[in-house]
Amino acid sequence: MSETILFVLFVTACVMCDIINRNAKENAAVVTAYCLLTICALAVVISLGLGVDVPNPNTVFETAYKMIVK
Amino acid sequence: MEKVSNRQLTGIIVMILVSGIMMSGGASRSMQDSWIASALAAILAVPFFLMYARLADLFPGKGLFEIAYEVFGRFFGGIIVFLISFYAFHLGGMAMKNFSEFNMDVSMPETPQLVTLIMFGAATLYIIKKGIEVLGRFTDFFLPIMIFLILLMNVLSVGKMNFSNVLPVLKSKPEDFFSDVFSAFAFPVSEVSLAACLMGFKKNKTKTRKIFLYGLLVGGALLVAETLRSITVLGTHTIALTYYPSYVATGVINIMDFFTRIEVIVSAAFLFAQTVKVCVCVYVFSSGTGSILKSTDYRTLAVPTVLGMIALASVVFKNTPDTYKFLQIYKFFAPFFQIALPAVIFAGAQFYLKRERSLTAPI
Repeated sequence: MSETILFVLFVTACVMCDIINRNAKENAAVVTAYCLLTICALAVVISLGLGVDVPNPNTVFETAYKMIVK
Repeated sequence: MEKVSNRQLTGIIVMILVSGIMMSGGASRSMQDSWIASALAAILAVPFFLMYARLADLFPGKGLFEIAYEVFGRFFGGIIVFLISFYAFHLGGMAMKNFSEFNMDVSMPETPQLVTLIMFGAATLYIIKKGIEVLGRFTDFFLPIMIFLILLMNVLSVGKMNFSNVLPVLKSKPEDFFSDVFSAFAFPVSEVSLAACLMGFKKNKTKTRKIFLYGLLVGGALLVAETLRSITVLGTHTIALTYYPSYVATGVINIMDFFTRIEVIVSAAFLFAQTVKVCVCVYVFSSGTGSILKSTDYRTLAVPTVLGMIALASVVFKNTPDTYKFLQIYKFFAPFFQIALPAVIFAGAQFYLKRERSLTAPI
């Protein structure tokens, strides 16, 4: 769990630095993508920290491979 | 506008190729012929590297994404850009996981992988936030050191080499041999396709062909030399028992019982190369998604890209054997992003330029 807290602190530090040092005015779509990606990353790592089983994205490729090749 | 010299771009290509040294020869099916498989993969890549170079020459000052938008328009170009960006994100996550897994396996087994990923992510984020010029200078500084270290390892290993380990030559089954050729082709040789996105930063107006071919020559030679060293030092049976043949082959170096345990040197070379590869992946994803969303700067999405890659790296593989297992699947889908999509852009560019010429030609 301690590493999850470290990650949350890292995310906070990165986002704070980005907000403080922002020099370009971005549109709403970019800001939305920024927030979504960050929240997804946080959700995955916090879920892992809480012991929730997060699906492996590679299973998509593995399934496709089994369907096509085998 | 940021500019990167030809030498730095060549260096980036070499770094991407060398990022595969740690796993080269590992889990190989063609055993003693895996070094020939690596060499053949590099030779097979030549036409595709020439294609990336030709694209960059046809549209000077533009990267792969800008070319895709110009040739196919906003919608279809956006689809291609999205697919390549998605591949870069996935590759970046896998590369980060490879590094943290390697770090845990060989030096810091008690350290949580997330800590390694955060440290590695912070370093790549810093480089990307400072700009591609910094990545170029990083490569410029570390590439000679890395080449020296790899060559030094080869020279110091000469006493331990047993060249009968490469015999019999080409006696492996054709299906095993070509399976290894395609594995080496997909990882790491064709991953250089992402470097085509950086060609918009090229400073000099010389032919891009030289950048790709010199990069392939140096990077391919280092890759083959490392694979050959692992085979001659360890032998195929020992390699089959190890996950990181290059690292283990360095571990047996012993000069007069004084110069020993120098595996860290090959780890350093791997670290430099992997850093550059992940930086390129972060740049490609953040600039690709940024261009789809009409962002003004590729750095804007760098932070969430790195955070997303760290999250992906946390779930993408369970352990090192899982990495090797996935390589067998990776070699089937990766060429779609590495070869097919750039080939579609290349074909479209030929038609586009032909039409442009016919429209502007005097009647």
